[in-house]
Amino acid sequence: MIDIKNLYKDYERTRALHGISFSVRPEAFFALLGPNGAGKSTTIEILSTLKSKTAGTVQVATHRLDEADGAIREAIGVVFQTSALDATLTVRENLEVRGAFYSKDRSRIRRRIDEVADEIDIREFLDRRVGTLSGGQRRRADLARALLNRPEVLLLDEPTTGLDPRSRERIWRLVLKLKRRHRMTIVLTTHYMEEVNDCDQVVVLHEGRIVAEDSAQRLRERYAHDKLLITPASPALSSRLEREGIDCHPLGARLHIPVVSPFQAIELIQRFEADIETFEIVKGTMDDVFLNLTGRTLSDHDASVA
Amino acid sequence: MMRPLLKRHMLIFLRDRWAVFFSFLSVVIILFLFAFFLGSLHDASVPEAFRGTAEADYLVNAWLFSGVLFVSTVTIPFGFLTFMVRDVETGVLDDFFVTPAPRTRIVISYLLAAVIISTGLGIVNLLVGMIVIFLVSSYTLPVLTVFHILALVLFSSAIFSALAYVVMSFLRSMNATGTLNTLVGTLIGFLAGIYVPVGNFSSRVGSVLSLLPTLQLSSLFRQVYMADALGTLYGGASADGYRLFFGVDLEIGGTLLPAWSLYAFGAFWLAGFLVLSVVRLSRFKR
Repeated sequence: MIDIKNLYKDYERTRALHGISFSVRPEAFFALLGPNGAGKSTTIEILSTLKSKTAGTVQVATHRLDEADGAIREAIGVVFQTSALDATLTVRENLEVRGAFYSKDRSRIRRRIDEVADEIDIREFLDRRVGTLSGGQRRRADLARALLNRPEVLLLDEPTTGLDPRSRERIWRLVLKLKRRHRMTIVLTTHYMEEVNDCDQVVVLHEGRIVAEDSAQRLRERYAHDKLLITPASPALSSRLEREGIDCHPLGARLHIPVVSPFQAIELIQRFEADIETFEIVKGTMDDVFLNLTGRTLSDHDASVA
Repeated sequence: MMRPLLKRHMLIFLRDRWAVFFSFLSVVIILFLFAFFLGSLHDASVPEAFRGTAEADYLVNAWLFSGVLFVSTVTIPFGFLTFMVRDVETGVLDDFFVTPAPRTRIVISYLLAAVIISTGLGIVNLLVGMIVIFLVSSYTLPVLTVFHILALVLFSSAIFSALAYVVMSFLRSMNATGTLNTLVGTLIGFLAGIYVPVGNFSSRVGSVLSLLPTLQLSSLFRQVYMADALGTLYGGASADGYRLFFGVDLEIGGTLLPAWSLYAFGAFWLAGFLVLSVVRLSRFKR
């Protein structure tokens, strides 16, 4: 559905993308994961024909960028990082204006607005001005706008950034519902690790380069490990573990032991039960994936960028 | 696609009361200055025999409202096109650009909307001016003059919308547009010979100002708007001194500019700004 080969993007003094290549299967739920400045939004902007590429080839829904940009725009729906709807217009007025870009038939536009309003559950605030909506409601309106043209490819650029957990969850449920119902290809950029868990293809970007590409589950298996966190009952535990050749690192008052599975963790707990006060088995996360691939966590990186 | 977009542009402008208010700020300033300062200056320049008559009031108010009307055709396009910069800044334009609609048409819609809004509000301005003139002097503008003025409003709106579009296309932030609009609002009163009548300047400065589209168009507005009032007050007597002092007629290097030359200048500016607008469309390409 999307095919990118050796994509470079240069700004005046910086290179944002260093020859990245990847393909997105039809109906895939695809994630571009990385911190701020990794090149995620630049990639989305190139895919959505907003930015030019410096070099490389890009194909979206069988249409080549620079040769059939109009056809690409017909095939995509985009939710931007921040809401792009007019605050002083109602949601309906906003959708009518955007709908007119896709069809001249006003009654058809109105019907389509009704359809997406029901699907995204925005009917209750369809006639309210966007400026009066909550962040979550506004995001749903953005999603409705992106669906107006029944896109084959839905591009979501950090769609849940800045939302409260409840709104994030609601948006997320909607995205999953859309994927199931319409079997569309979804390309998501995010720096929330938990959001890529549902994705069947993940590309990890770091400073404009791809550092890993696989399914979320396989990336976790390869780059993230479960860990056992132990609060020792006696100070001797650390030296006992070392004597028995078990890799452990102090983590505050606790000991951090990488394990290949929860079963190994249970076995260790049983062996050293007398020296353990409390324990916790933590599943490997996508955050660990990023840490192992780049040597930094996403939150470290975002803090340094900020 | 164009009609809904034009409707959208007009709605977002007209629903923003502050934007509308600030577009009229220089008009408010002119009315304020006129009430406290310019009015008495003007009264003093009317022949002594006519001072305080309805004919003099007709002339003075025709001068005032022709200036107000002209200024609105400059400041409203600048005020409205602030929204184009805002749309760039907030990503609304990107949202339009990811649709199959041609980008040139989307960008041109802002220019068209500026002309329509400026002309529409110009009509309101004209009506207000006519009502005030009638209340003050019992005179009404001849019907043909009204149509002539409407054509001028459209002409001037087109010229200054194109200019505003070119200037705004260089700006990337709302802060910059705020500064620009303050500058335009302040300068326009001088450049149109309203805050200080052009006759107060030296002939050299007057000649330089007469080369600018602001004074040329404001002069055209006065010629049309005040024709009946001048005829009513002066009859067959010469009003040349008054006309030159108050910028009804313009001179460059002592040579009087005929009305047709002012239209020719206007057409030149319109063509020039439109060409520059087309050049600036490239800003919105990828």
